[in-house]
Amino acid sequence: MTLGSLWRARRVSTVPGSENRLSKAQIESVLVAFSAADWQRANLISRRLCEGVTGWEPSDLLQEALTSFLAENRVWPADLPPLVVLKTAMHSISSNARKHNQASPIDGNVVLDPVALSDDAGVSPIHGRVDATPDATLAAKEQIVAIYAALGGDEELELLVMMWADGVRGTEAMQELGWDAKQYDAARNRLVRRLKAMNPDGGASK
Amino acid sequence: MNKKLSEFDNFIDSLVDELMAMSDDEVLDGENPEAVRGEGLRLLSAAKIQAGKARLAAARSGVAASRSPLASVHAAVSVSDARHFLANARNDSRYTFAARNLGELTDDEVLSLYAKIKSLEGKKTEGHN
Repeated sequence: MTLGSLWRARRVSTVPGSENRLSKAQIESVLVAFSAADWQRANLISRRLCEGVTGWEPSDLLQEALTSFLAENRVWPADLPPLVVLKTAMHSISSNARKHNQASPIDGNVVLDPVALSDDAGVSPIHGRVDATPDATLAAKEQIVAIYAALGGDEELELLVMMWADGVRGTEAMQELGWDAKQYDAARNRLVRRLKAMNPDGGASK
Repeated sequence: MNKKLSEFDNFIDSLVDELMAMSDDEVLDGENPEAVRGEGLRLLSAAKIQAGKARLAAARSGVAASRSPLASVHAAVSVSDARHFLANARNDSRYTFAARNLGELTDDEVLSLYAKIKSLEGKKTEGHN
C-alpha cells in the first residue's frame, strides 16, 4: 500500500469530530510508512521553512513538528496528504520561533538577515499566513529574494520561481511558460537541487 | 492563484505540490535511500521520546489540573458529547463563536469551549432568575 493510498484509506466522514483526524497510533503508522523519498520531501520543505530561524536546523524543525503531533498538541487532519500536514505544522512552528527570537533581548536574526533593512526597521524574518503583520510581509519578501538570489541568474529557474510564487504550478505553469513536459521536469529538478544546496539561512552554499 | 497568500506562501505550497508530483528517484536525486529513511526514522524516534517526556510532565501537573474548572467538565461530559454539542451550537442562533473547524480543535480545546458556553448559559439563567 502506498503512502497516498494509506492516507486516503483513512479519509472518513467530514462531520466535525475526532473521527476525521488521526489518532496518535495512526499518525505513527503513517510516519513509519514514509519512504526514503517521503522523508527527503519533508527535509526539503523543512529547509525552506527553517530559513532565518536562529539556532534551528531543518531537522530540528521537522522533529519539533513530529513531536507536536505525537504529544497530541496538534491535530493531524485525516483528509490531507501527510506532507501538507507536516508543512503546515512546520510553517506555524517556524513562524512562532521567529517571533520568539524577535522578542528576545538579543536579536539573533541580525547576522542571518540576507537583505539590508532600514536602520529603524529592526530585523524580523517572520513569514506566512500565520501572521500578516508588516514585519511578516517584509520577511516573506526577504525569503523570496533569497531564493531568487540562489538561482545564479538562471532565467528558466527565475521564471519557474515566479510562477510558483504566483501560485501557478504543474500543468498550468508548464502551459503558461510555453514549455513541454520534458523542459518543465528538467527545470523543476534543477530548481529543487538549487533549493537543497541553499544554506538554511539563505544564500547558496554549493 | 491565491492573492491572500504572500509570494513565499504560494511558493512553499507550490513546492509541496511539485515534490509530491515528482518521482521518488527525482526527489532522492542520487541520495542513499537507506540513509535518508534511517535519518527520518531517527527523527521520529527522537520525537516519540520527546513527546513521551511532555506527556509525563503533563501527568505530573495533573494534580493541579484536577482542581481546574476544565477537570470538572472532563468528569461531566465526554469529548464526543462536547463535540456534538458544539456542532449543534454552531447552527444555533443563540450562540456565536469563531467558525474554526471543530475537527481542528484538540480534546482540551473542545472541552474548554464547551465549559465556556455552559458557563455563559449558567450566568444567563442566573440573570433571568
